[in-house]
Amino acid sequence: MLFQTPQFFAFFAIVMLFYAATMRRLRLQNAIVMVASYVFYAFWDLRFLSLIITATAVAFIAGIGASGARIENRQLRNALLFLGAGSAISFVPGLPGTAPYLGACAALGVAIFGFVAVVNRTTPERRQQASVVAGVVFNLALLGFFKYFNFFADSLSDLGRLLGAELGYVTLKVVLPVGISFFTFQKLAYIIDVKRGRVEASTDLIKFGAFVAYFPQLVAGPIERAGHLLRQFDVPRQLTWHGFATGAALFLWGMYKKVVVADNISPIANRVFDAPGSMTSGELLVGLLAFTFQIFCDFSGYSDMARGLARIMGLDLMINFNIPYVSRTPSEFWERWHISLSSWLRDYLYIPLGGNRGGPLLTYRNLFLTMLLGGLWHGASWTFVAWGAFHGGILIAYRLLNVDRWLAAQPPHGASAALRDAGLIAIMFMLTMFGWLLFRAADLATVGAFMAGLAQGEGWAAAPWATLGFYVAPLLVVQAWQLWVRDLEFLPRLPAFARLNVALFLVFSLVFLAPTAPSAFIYFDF
Amino acid sequence: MRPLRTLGIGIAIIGYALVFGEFFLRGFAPQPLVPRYVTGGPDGIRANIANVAFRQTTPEVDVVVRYNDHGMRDDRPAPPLAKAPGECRVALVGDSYFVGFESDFPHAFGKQLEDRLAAARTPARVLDFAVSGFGTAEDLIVIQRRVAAWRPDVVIMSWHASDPDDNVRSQLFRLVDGRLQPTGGAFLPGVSVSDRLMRVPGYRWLIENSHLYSALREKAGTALKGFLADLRGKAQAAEAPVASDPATEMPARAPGAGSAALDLALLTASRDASRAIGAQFLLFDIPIWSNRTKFYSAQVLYLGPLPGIASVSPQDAFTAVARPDLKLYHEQGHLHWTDAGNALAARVAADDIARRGWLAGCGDAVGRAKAVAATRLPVTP
Repeated sequence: MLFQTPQFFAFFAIVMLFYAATMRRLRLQNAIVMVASYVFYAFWDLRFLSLIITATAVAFIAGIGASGARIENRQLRNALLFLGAGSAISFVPGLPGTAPYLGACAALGVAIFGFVAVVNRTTPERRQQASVVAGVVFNLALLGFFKYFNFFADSLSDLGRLLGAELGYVTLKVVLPVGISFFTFQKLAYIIDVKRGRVEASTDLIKFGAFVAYFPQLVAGPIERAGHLLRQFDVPRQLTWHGFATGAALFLWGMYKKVVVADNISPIANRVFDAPGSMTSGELLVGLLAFTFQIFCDFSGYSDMARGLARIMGLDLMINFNIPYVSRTPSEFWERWHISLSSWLRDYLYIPLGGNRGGPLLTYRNLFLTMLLGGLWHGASWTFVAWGAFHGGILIAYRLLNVDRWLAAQPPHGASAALRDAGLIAIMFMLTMFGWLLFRAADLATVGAFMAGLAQGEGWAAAPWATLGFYVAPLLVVQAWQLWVRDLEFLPRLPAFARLNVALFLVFSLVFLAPTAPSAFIYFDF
Repeated sequence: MRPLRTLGIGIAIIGYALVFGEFFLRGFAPQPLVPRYVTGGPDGIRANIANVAFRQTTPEVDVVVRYNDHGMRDDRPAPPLAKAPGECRVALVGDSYFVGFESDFPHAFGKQLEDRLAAARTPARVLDFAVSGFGTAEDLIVIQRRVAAWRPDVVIMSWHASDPDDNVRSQLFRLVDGRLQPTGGAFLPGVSVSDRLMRVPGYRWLIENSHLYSALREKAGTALKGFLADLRGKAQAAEAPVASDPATEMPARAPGAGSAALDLALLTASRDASRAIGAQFLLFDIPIWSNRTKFYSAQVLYLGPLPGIASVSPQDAFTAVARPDLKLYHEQGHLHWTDAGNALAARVAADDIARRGWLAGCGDAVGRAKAVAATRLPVTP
């Protein structure tokens, strides 16, 4: 159920009816959010609904344990009931593997029961330790199995073949559950934050379920922190006209970016990446530029739509994109691009690895490893690994050159500053584009063919510059305005007549410039 | 006063939005303005409005379409009903391809066919009974009720990819124990609304000039068609053909897209109805446009071989001349044939008629001379 479809609008309208009717009954409202989120997820893939329910039950217990508190019988019972409810989904006709799934759930139930029995008898410190390890291992195991099993099995087999050995493993056709990377990271952050004392463990499974599965951000983020989102389920929400108007504006803008910009320029990129060897240099460059804007509009469009929906519901989701293509350095880029992931990687990977506390060499290692794993987070492919390595490499290079420190010492305003910034932005934009080439290419051979084609230096004029410009120009105008007024959401502050015109432009664009068939978001694959 | 003020502001905003939309579309997404000018006929199906001239404008063309005093696409008056001795006539029945939408009359399929036949020394007056949106069921009624009196020598019926669905949707005929039976019902979709709207001052201007109106009507029509298809449990039929055979890249008939048995029965009945009035019957395939160099036969896709029914397709001729820089279909309009497409299709039809010798015996020397002269009549200004 894509956000931009009538089906979703109908779903959201029904949810809002129940949501608004339960404004004074917080727990019931949280239950509605949770159930609605599960219904939303079931539209994607009913098979994996039980997975998210199971993982929620495990994270719930792990969270309480990570706080050091004893896990009460009531909490254990609720978690096991939750697990049972999740396993009941496997009885739905047409779903494969009822018996194995029930067996696995039963085993997990016994394991949780046993785990609770054991940790409740230990010291709070040990309980914390054991719960964090169990929660993290369980979540990473789920992610590893569903996302990386085939990748590592294939790679191991290839390596064996290279060395002359036939390893003869069995490839499992593991299907990737939509959004697994996002909700897994959200749960991991929660368990670790509880252990660190940054948030209180949730003892209300309904509230926690709503937090883990909150449907606007369930399948593609932003990856929310418990300290920000979970707390909002503790207090009554306000439905206000301002929240509705600004939320709807944000949703509309996100939908415009996705449907009008990303979906219309994606054929340019697809055509080029499908057969780079038969394209002119101009077509390759336009194709790469198209993908550069496509991925931004696709992903940031989703984030904006998610934030808009949440705001209509009286909730706040974090900003995930902040005009990333005006970054002057790689570190600035990662402060502006997919902020929820980059800050997650910083807080739960880079800093635990030692951050910049162990001297330059360790800092470079940590940066590189963090970006490498950040690349691998996107998917089990060597192109994503190369993309992560490339970004790790340029982060190190800029650090070696002390660019960020030098910039901090320079005057921020004036003609020379503008010229300097423009140059740095241009360089960073080209580096980012190269990164997207690694990211989008089917394999590393495609990257080679692409670069060879670009180096030919011919056929610049015949490329579809006009089509790309037609769809990207309004985006650039809006972003320039956002930069100028230093406000990502300037629309509510415009005069009424200007607001009307912007709204009409967005609506007419959505109605008449959108491709006929809606297409899924790129980040749903991650 | 407050509610009145709010109402006033609301109306002003709606009015402004409409103006904004019109300019938006003209600037960013020009729409093809292809009005149809149809009304209800006495035979329960649609008919072209007689004696009208209207513009069709798209980013590619700006043409005037005229329907004569009998609602035929022709810049000239219709000939007398009674055939002159030695006069040959060819009747066209079908949809907007045969009407020649998005082409001016000299380049429309009918006139091109007439010119081709004259050049081949088998002159015939082409009488264009086609109506935009028609399927085979309506075409059959046209042959039975409208064409018969004109005593044509040849009836050419178009076969288009939308026909299978139209034939089911119109519910004009049904199969009972394998036999075709008229339901006795009428099929006049949207006619009562459009008739009423036609009486509204300014409406004609709107359909010929407003991009917003055209776009909204198109969207509403598509949505309604999809909704009706959904209701009949065959949502995919609305977008037929959809799937494709990966080996041949040939699109497959969409599941639920019409009924092959009904289509065949309608075609057979059309052939028999033509024979009953002394005319030969030719089924003319309208190839499905895929891109400038790839076309699919709607006949192969939906019907397959048709024993006992003469048929011809311009698909091979289209493919033979296809080039990336040659448009045979109007790609920014409603995918009707361009002048080049009309000329090529007409050549294929004329060559097929000549090959079959269908017009060889219908005219004597005097009649042929009259027919040749008739094709050169000056067009109505």
